[in-house]
Amino acid sequence: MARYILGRLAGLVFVLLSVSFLTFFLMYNTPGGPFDEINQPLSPEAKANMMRKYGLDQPFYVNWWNWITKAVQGDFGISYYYPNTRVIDLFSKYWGSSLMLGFLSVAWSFPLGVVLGVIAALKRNTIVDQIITTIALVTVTVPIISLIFFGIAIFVIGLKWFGFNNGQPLYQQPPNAWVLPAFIFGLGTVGALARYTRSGMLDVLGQDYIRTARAKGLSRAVVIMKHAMRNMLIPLVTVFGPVLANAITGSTFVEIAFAIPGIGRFFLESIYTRDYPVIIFTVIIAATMLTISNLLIDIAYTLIDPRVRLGGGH
Amino acid sequence: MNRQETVLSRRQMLKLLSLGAGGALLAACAPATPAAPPATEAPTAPPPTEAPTAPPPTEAPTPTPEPTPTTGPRVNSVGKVLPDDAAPPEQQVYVTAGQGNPGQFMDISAMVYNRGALSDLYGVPLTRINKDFELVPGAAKEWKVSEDGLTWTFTLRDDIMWSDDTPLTADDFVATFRYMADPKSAYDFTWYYSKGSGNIKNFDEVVAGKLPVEELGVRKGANDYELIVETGEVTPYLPRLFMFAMPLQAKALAAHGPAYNSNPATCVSCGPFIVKEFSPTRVEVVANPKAADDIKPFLERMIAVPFPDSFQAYQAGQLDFTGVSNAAQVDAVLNDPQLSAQATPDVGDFRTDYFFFDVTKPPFDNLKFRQALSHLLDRESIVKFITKPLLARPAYSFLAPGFPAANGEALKDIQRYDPELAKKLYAESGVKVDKLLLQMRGDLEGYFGKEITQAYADSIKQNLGIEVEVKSVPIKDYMADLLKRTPDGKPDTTIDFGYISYGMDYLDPSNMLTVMKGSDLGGRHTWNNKEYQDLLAKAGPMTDIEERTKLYQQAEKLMVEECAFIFCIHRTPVNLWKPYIKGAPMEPGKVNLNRGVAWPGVSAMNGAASEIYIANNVLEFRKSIP
Repeated sequence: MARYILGRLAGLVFVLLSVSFLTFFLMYNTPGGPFDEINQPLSPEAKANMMRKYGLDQPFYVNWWNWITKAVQGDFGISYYYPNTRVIDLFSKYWGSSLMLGFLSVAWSFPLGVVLGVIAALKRNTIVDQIITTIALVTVTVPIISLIFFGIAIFVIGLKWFGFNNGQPLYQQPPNAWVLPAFIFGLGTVGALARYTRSGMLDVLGQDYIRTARAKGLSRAVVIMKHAMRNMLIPLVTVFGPVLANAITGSTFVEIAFAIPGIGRFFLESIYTRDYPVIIFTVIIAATMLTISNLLIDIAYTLIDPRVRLGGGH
Repeated sequence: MNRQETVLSRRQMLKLLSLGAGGALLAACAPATPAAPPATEAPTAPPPTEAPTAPPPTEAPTPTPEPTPTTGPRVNSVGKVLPDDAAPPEQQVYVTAGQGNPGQFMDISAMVYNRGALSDLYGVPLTRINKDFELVPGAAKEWKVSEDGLTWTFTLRDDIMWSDDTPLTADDFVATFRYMADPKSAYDFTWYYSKGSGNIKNFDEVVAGKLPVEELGVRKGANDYELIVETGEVTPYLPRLFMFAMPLQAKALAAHGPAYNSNPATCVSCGPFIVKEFSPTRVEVVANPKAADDIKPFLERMIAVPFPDSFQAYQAGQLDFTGVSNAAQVDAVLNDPQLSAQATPDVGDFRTDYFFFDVTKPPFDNLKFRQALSHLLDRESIVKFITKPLLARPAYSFLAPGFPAANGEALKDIQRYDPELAKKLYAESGVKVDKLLLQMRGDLEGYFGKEITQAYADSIKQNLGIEVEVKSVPIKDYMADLLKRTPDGKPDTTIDFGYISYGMDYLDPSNMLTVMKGSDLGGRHTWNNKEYQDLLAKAGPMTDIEERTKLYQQAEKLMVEECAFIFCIHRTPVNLWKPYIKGAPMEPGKVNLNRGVAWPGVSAMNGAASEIYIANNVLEFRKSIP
């Protein structure tokens, strides 16, 4: 197991090197740059001063290597647009908002999705099943941007029950600044989980060992909780990793719509403004999170299912 | 008593718990109560001296032990007497979305395009404009120019102090100009003081590293309060241009660099406000107690939260001001009586949206073809049906009504909508094309660009049979393409037919018209007309205003006739101001005919930041202060 984990971590280094190189290549070869003139053209001399100051007169691979050598020492550079702030400080300050939004949305949507899925499976082909399936279908298929639109129009502008974020981190805000974003952000997960769980539960319920357990005289509740649910965990763990990673790094639309100062919002703004130090750091963080979450899921398999062995075991 | 009456069933318990949890959640989500006054942070207001507080009445004592209300003038925490209809000091808070720029620099002299919200409140520029765009003194109380027109002497006020109790002197302005020209600074607005614009002596040479900053034509005069500015050419509009000459403090600049005002710990201000809290997503500034009396604001605080959609935030009651900029927002305003009452059109920065051609390439090198296209733009219909008259006026020339030397009425006929004439000119041009690509700068989508370009494309297709593909390009990519030059300085753009806009930086025809000076002289377009360039060169240094205006009008007429540019709309951006925002800058003026603070907004450059206040009807509208 230890060898397996070390191998995967070594692979992570290779992944990060490749991702960073590719990101630098794309950043420097996309038309436009961080300091393009908006209105009046700068003189060639003034433009050259600007390029030199930020090292943009160097080829991308030189800047990539400079970045790598500093990054391994914990120096991820300074944002072009927030010159008093190191990129890592910017993230430290706003990471919390994204984390809180992600965890809140998962905290209510994941259990609810699982419960609804189980209920739908147990009440298969009844009106309850049909209602849950319809709700799940709607929350999965309606784009989050539409949900945001309706949510803001009805609850923020119309009823004024909730408000936009006031620019401070989410965890310093009253509930009326985070309840609606967390609810909307989690809706898609509820639907997806409910559909996923229903399908998985129906598979499990059709297995011979469930029939055997019932035949042994075990109550329905015990069979479901002890036998069916445990076997349902494997596919759930598979989806939990991406759901969690998406919850933390995929809240861009929600953050922008509700003015939440999170990393998703900064990432999008950094792409728009070509703030290279912020772009590369965000990409690396996202890649790291996804890779590590996949690793943790693989490890979790071994805990849930004794048949699974990692690292070449039998 | 039976068990049924005393014990809750599990189902009942769950119901009660659900109700309780739901109630708690709703209570938690209820709108906050109005913000409490910053009781401990605001310095104690000095006692009013103009009209002492009336003593409590003695003849008929009040029956209750409550304190007797004072009847004298109210002052805010920096000692400024509030108007009679002003709200109490704790409600003197103005909330804005800021400039919408991502960025952290707080002074226009440090960096222009990456300025953050609530920038330009920490100094007093050399000159200012008033609400009618008239030039008025700023940090310089007077100025004079030498007989040859090349040396300006600005006499500074001696009563302006920085918040660290040091005086604002000529040294601060010298350090500021040296910073802007220094190649190491890589200042992003150098064109403003370069040859052809500010014309400051040796500015271009210093930027290019050919001369040291000490050789710059800005220096201290005979004393601390005299600033000498030398220009390479006669520049009669220099004082107007200096409304952007916002001082950086020499000491702070040396100690902390140009972004010192982005940090409350290093912020130093001689303007109306000082930074209290700074982050990329929220800025809060408070009244500067050390500001000169006429610069001290009525407002206690200003808060900027750069909401991605400020219009929605305004509707939600979280902002005091926002702009209206697209069709959906216009409809929302027109359909809402309350919003309609708060909406006022504004001349803004006299911005004109226009089409342009790369006249060096066929088919746009053909004058008759360009003329044909100019007669197919139905501006009246565009304004009537697309922008609505509230948000734009038809443009038949570059300079918008109200701008110095504007001459739109006289030029109206040259590019008039006339499809029959267009067809005739197209036939005469000899041009045969099936398809054109019209590239729009992406930010114009925010001002009906999609609808306007499509309407124009349809008109060209319908009348000339030429298919026009419309493509929106993000602003950075667009400008990179438009300004692309070969190593020998020749235009290398792929935008042959484009849609773009320009608004003024200072109120002088030289500013707007030099945008069209041509790529040979460092301009952004490829129309290099010698006669036009000569007219601009001749008019620029002239001091005879009437004669100068004639030359600029002559130049503009030539530009319209040449049809290198097809002018479409003059924007009249609509702003929404909450009814409780009051003060002299909010009143209608000579140029800006409606209620609302004119360009450049609530700033130290026009004094508006010191003059607006919150009226006592604020609590009818404001539920809380963010």
